[in-house]
Amino acid sequence: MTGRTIVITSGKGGVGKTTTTANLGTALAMRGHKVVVIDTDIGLRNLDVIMGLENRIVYDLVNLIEGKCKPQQAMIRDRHQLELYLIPAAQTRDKDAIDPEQLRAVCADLEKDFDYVLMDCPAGIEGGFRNAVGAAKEAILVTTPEVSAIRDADRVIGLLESSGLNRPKLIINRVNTGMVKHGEMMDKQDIVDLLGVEVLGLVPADDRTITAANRGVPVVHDKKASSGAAFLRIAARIDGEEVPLPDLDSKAGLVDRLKGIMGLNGRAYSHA
Amino acid sequence: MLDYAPVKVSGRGTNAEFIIDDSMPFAETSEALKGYLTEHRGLWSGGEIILTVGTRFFSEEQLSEFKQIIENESGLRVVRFSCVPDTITESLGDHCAQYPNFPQHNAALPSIPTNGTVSGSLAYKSDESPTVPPAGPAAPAFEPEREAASPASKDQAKRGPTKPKQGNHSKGNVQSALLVKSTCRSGEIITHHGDVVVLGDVNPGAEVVAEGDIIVVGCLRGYAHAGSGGYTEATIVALSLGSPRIQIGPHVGVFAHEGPWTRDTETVPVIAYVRGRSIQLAAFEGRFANYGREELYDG
Repeated sequence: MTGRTIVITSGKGGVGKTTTTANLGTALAMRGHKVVVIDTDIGLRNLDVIMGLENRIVYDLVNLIEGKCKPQQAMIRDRHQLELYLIPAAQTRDKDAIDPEQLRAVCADLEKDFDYVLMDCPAGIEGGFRNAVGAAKEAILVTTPEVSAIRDADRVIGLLESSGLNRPKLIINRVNTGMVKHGEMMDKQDIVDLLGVEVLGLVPADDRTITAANRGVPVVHDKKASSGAAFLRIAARIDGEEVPLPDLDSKAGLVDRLKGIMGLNGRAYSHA
Repeated sequence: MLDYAPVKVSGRGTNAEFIIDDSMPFAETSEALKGYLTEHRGLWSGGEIILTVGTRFFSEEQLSEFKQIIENESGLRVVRFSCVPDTITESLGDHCAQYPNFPQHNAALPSIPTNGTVSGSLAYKSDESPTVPPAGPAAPAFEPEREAASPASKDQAKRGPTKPKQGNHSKGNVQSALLVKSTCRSGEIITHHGDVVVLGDVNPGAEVVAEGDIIVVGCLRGYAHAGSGGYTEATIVALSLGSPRIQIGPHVGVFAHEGPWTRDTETVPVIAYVRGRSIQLAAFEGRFANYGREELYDG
């Protein structure tokens, strides 16, 4: 079995990388895949908290890389999904404790046994980012519809492309549909115009995401949560299923995707 | 002896080639080169050589440092720098710049057009004569201190823009155009001794610095500096202009915007040019017939 190694990154902090990683990992496991999620945010780990596995940590990623434990010992099985595992980050070390080659070797090893290896990337574009990106073969970019997050996403796309991860896919998190309708928030089209990448999905702003994270149960388990449903749709798209983007964003899917592939935006197109 | 990594020397008939490892950092490479030459000092008695740099990008200063090292440590004279065209394109990936007349090492020189420009990562130009004969690796003489244009690419650009050349700023002195087939994203810098055409957007935080004109087939939202050598007849054309600041020659134009994000309703192609001492904007309608003949843009 050769799994897919995907890094989930953003540049800016606090846009929901860790929440996205936990939910996509859970959603992919719910679809019947064998999934391992790796927290690469060494020194600031929190994927374990979001997944509610904090109390079970014995060994971590740095122990595994230093050869102090076996991969099976570092992997923590999820409480709900039998085929979902977490490799937590070390809290007492820093980003320099590992290098991209070591992480790449760990991922290559895991790819043999798992369908998906998801890496939660730290914020910023320094050492921790380079570790995670250097080990990944695909990239998912998380942003919120805010100018600051989008500026950082733009920079990160450039860095991803220069390290060979072409065509990263975009998840727009915390979309406030009410504000978008009133023209107070950037909508999907504005963001695609600027970034020129394929949109994997939109996640609505939802209080249930926060309560779920506080309880340590990813929001995809909550049947009533709109954000959970969005993560399930995104997981299906990652899996290769054709799921249309719902409601106000259903219009220009294919054209956008073509433009995204060509690195052009709508404006360049209409005048070319 | 010839396997002295990272610098290799190969002889081809009466010519010698210095091949420098792509993956070594600059400081180590120059040390290794110095070491090699000191060790084999007796080997060289004089002559002309070519330096093959592989796929890496060097700045003008670094190339002339290499030339200095070789010429001081041996009796040789560096007549030409060369690189491998295919690997350059590969290393640039999808957003590769187009180098139509890339100088090939150990191949005949491309015939040089009458305006005296050949583009490329190691672009050079011929002031001497428009009809330089296609010659072997030992000709024509090429002075890196004066001529070697720094590689105009995103990869090089991280080291920052090269200093603009002083002196003659006439249009005929500028290198041929660089075509960038990708969006220029935040943090990326494109510097070129000539015109730049971007097929895509220039996003906020990106910079395009050209000694000639800048054409953006997309939305220009970053910083653009045309005529960076002081050529004030340069223009900036974009399908949509949203930059907070552009520059032509020494003249800076600043635009007032309400905030960092406004929906662009204005999608008219725009040309920016210098009139008097300020930058003017006009809807670009392609009326360029008389431009450059002592007449400003008439749109």
